[in-house]
Amino acid sequence: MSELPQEAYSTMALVLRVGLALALAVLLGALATYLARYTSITPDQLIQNNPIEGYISPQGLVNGLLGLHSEAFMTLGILVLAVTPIARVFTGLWYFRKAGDRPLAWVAFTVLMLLLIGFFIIGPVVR
Amino acid sequence: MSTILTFLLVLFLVAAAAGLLGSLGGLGGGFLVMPVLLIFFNVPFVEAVGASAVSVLATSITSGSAYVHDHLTDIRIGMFLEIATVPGAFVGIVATILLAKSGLVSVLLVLLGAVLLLTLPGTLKRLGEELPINQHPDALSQRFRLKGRYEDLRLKREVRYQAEDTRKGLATMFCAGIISGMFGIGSGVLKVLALEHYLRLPMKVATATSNFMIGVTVAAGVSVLFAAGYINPALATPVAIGTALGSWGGSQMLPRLTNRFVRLIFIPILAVLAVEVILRGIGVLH
Repeated sequence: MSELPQEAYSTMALVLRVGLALALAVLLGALATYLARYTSITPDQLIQNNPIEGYISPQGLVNGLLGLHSEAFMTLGILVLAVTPIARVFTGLWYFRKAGDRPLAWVAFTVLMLLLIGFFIIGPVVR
Repeated sequence: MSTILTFLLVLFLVAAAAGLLGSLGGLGGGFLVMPVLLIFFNVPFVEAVGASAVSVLATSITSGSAYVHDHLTDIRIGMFLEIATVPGAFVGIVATILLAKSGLVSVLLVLLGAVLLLTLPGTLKRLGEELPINQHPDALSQRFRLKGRYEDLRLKREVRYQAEDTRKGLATMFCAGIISGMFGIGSGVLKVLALEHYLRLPMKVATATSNFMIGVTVAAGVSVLFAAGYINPALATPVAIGTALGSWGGSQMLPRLTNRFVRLIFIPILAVLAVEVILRGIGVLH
């Protein structure tokens, strides 16, 4: 069992930065398109009319993306943001396992499973 | 300038300010976004939680990546404690969704404010302490080797530390997860205090590790809110972009600041947040 190598820190930082850059690029593009498309929308309409319903299911999201709906791209950007810390946990699991650090590898695996349970079980149940 | 453009610009600026302060204090940014969305923009409670949570996610990832790269974050301790914050976040967000339909949120806001006010004396007491002293690691800390070191740019030396009371730390992190899930905030206040007070980590490590953990805690809440249809993408997008930029600025400043200076920013924000949520809870603010 050895200390985490410098590579682990660098990779984890890279995972976070790539996820963030990807999410921000998608969100910025989507926001610009949204503003160009909905010039006359009021703040109240923006707040009251939540478009998420159409994009919660994978099929709805894909259809929205293919139809170039700005709200679908915003949803995609938010999903990328949400998945980035999960990818970071996976990276941690990889390096703890590689370093032979079984206790921390189990901790990372448990956290990863909990996050997946939230995404695929608790969310849909609460809905 | 069109109304919607002005609206989104204001949202962006508020989010950028929240991101900057959140990153510096390890707070997460939601402490400012959440009340602003509720008070000034009349956003429904659970959707405000959703937008706030997305902003906190952006803050945590932005500053988290910088702190990890600079070795200020303790990855081992952060991931160890996430085992408590994630279930807490699930409990919190499910409770909020249920309570939002039953009208009991005001009671919980008062409780949250009270908890935050109770944390102030401890923070003030340790105002001058740069580094923890007399560390006594417990059995869990030794078994999981919850220790580390970092290069302090200001003190110009390597600082070594080992976590102390991990059981109390885990319990506090579970509570922090609940609050995070309930209000879409990072609960950085509780996380930083637990990391410093129970685990006895140096301030900068505590702040960076808190930011690191907030990402996973809030991602747990966002996943549930997303699947339940409470994230408004048009609202959350400008907030996420603003907080990401603000927290990047904060992460660039933190390694060069003294702990005392960070605390002097941190304490008034904590006090304002506490009063704010209490006033909202008793109905003075709507």
